[in-house]
Amino acid sequence: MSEKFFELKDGNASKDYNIVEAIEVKPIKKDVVIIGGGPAGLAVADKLFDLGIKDIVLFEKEEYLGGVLPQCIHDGFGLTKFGRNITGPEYAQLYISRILEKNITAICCATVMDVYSNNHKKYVSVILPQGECLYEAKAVVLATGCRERGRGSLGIPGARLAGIYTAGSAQAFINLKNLMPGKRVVILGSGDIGLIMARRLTLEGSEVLCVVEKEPIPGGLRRNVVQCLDDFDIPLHTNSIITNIYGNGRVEGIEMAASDGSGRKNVSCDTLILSAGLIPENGVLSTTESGIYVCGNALYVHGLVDDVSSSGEEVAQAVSAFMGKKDSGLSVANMTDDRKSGNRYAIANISETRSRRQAELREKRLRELECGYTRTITCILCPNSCEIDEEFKGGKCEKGAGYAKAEMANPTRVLTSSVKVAGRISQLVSVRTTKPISKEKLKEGARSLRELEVNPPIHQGDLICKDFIEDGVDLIATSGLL
Amino acid sequence: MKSFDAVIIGAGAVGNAIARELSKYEMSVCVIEKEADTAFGISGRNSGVLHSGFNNKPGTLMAELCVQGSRGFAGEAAGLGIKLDRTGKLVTALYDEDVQALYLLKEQGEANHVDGLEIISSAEIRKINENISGVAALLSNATGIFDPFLYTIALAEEAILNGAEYRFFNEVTGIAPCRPSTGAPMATDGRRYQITCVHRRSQCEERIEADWVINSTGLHSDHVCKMLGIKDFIIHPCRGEYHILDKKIGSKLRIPVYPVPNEKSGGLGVHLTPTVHGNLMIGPSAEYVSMREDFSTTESIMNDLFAQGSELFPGIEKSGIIRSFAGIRPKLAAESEGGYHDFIIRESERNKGFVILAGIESPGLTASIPVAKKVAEIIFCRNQAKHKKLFRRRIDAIQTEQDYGPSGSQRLVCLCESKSEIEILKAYDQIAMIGAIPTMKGIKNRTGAGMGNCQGSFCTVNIIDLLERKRGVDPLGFFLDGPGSNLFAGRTR
Repeated sequence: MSEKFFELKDGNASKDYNIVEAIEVKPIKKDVVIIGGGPAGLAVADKLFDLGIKDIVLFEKEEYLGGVLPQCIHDGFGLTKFGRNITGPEYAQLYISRILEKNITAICCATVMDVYSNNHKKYVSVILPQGECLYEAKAVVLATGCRERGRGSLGIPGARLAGIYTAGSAQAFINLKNLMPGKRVVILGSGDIGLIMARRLTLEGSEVLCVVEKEPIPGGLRRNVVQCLDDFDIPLHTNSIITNIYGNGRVEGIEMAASDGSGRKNVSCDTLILSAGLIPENGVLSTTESGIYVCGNALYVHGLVDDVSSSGEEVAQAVSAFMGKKDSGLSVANMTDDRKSGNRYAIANISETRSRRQAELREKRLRELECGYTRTITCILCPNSCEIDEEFKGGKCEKGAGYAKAEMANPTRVLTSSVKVAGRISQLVSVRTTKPISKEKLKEGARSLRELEVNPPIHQGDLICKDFIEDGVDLIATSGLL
Repeated sequence: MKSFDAVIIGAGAVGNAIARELSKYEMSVCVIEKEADTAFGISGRNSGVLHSGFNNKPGTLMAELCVQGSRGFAGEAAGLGIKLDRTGKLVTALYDEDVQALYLLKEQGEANHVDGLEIISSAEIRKINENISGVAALLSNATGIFDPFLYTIALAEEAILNGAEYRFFNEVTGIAPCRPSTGAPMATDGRRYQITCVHRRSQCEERIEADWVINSTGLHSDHVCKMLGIKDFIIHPCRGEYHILDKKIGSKLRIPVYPVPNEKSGGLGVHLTPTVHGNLMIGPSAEYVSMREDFSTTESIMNDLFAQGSELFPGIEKSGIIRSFAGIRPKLAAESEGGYHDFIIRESERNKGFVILAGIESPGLTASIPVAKKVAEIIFCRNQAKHKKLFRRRIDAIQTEQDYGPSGSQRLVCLCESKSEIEILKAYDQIAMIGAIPTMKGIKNRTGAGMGNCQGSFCTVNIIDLLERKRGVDPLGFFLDGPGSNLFAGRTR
């Protein structure tokens, strides 16, 4: 994973900081530069290599690959792409292993500052820990993911206090940094990350008071409403908004109301978590030159990571076609002009299709809402979230009936959490049970997990605890730590 | 007991400017601040505009000191190592009946000796920016914008470079005249003061003696005066809310645009101001409030601001709002009176050696250095003090990135504003250097990390991780800004 980046003024490279004085004369030439080492970027790199484009480099701003996946320690990933129910870190590792096997250059701690063109040549300027560096590429792929909508753009009145976190940053603190954002929590927005965080906080011993959703229907998958809110009796207030935040230094409470502003009431809490939308992050682009592609959540926000990977693969095919490879697997004739040229304005068209699709989905859910879910069981085995009726019908596959029967007799869930690492206060190793355990035992399991401590090195898949909570169910590591 | 020639209460722009001014002389100076850091009060909650001085009544201190401040600012900014952007400013008349007011403003400005004022036509407005509304405008060429946080911080740093002492997180609980415990008093009438302050975390009480006490407490000026029985004025807090818009919109307007001010209102009217970081601000509103430190924003005003901003510059979009915040004006004019009262800058008659500053609202930031010089004059007309041989300028002391060598990397921690590890660590060290308490807000004010579109949702995690690794900061003892603003409830494990 190393490269020669610089021509040094003097030969003294032993001191780090001398590299700062490096003079960059010639850009480093690559066939393709991929920006972002999350699920989209990794899929692009992997697929490009398979298509025979091997002179590529991938930049990742964090110290590790996988993007947001390492902090998504819950399960539910990989169902559509691999037919397996795995956790975020495990999903990431599948792709990271491929990158390592293929010896693809991936550089971490690299922040791309600008993507521009000059004389039809495309340049990527990137800041590495040692200093700035310039790359020239035949094609550039932006796989920069998305960011969360913050309080400012949500326009919530009130005081500016500690204790207001976006769901993603709360997730990073709890799952990666061993820090608890708060003890009494209100969640604004019922997006998937917010729902996942409601469960995570509950399992970690916080009290999630309620989820406040502006729309009449939850924003996240029905499956997540069931296993993250319903399982723990967390109330979901739809058609509701937050009208004030108050406190002294730290949040002490919020005022909520119906979306028309009526029926205001105060909820005392110490934390407000925001999960009210994601915005594609593609601001680094300052050219409309052809050969520049956007994929994954940087293009539009996908519901599932599996789809993000597919988006990356699709773009890899388009890049390959653009670069004149015949066996790209994509028929150039079938592509729209926008896709053919990799023009960024393709984004607008795709977003339009996307929002139309989303509107349709919303309509469907609203109709469902009118019918009510009360007499059905939502199958949580996959993102389809089928509603199984009393006669065990309604599933898109045969698993639905079985699930509903089990759910009525003895509902079970996979427990995902993390364990302490000896001697490292701000690091954790994520874990899961090898099989689903009884739903009733989730909280007990989460509690007994807190007592465990592991000694590094830990590798993914290592046994952490045999016969954990139930006989025949083991606790294994889903992330590694050296 | 510690003894100083002068104690300044309040580390805002004015307090710091006074400390810095006095530190040019052979005298010992101490600043007591109740917040964790400098620029945490109203000095950091304003439009960040360098006013040229046409808004103030001729003959007032406001007018005189504002014009002085405006003229001297470029030189001061260079020495302090901060940026001034002379953008100019437009006061636009949206309707024909407002045009007369522009001429009156121009006349007033000229009476104040403001240079570079001209009335321009709607066509000329459009030449500056085709999206600005207005039938005519007053163009003030001398007006500019600067970073109010960095300015206030730079003043404190320069004061400290020249020997001033700071006590942060210390709240003054009492001031009493006393007999000198040590040495001869500096003030000619033999009077000294004992100031009691309490550390807000440790609750430790400290007594400090001083010949001169300068009340530069902004919103709390009347409360501090009451400690010596002085009750000649009341501060009327008047809140102003703002929106900050992203740089996409910010790049479309690079000149402050104001409406014709309403005489009765407590402010200059809701205006649009570009920031040195490239954002655009809308505000402030003017609303008299009862709580002095309630910097909350409100539903109704947040909506109004946007509507008023759109009138001046129809190019703004609500989706561009990235943050809303509020400042509070320490007004001497009550709501029933409206308008402005002049700055109070004087020595108390009954309590010689106690200098009162009150009502230092807009254009107080512009006027802060002249205000400080005025305070120095008051002191030096009784106490001669010698100039120090050397006055160290901040610009000469600023550490470069190379000074950080191997311990800091250029890896970016804040993507929106492109702030690197080195910059964050430098800010942390600067906070420690002035004796303030490192906080998320202090780092944000110094670096701009967290001021971007994501408003810290990415970089908060990175910054806390970085400070833990490189400076041994315990996240559990790390605060957003003031007391009680702890970021975490504990460890998960």
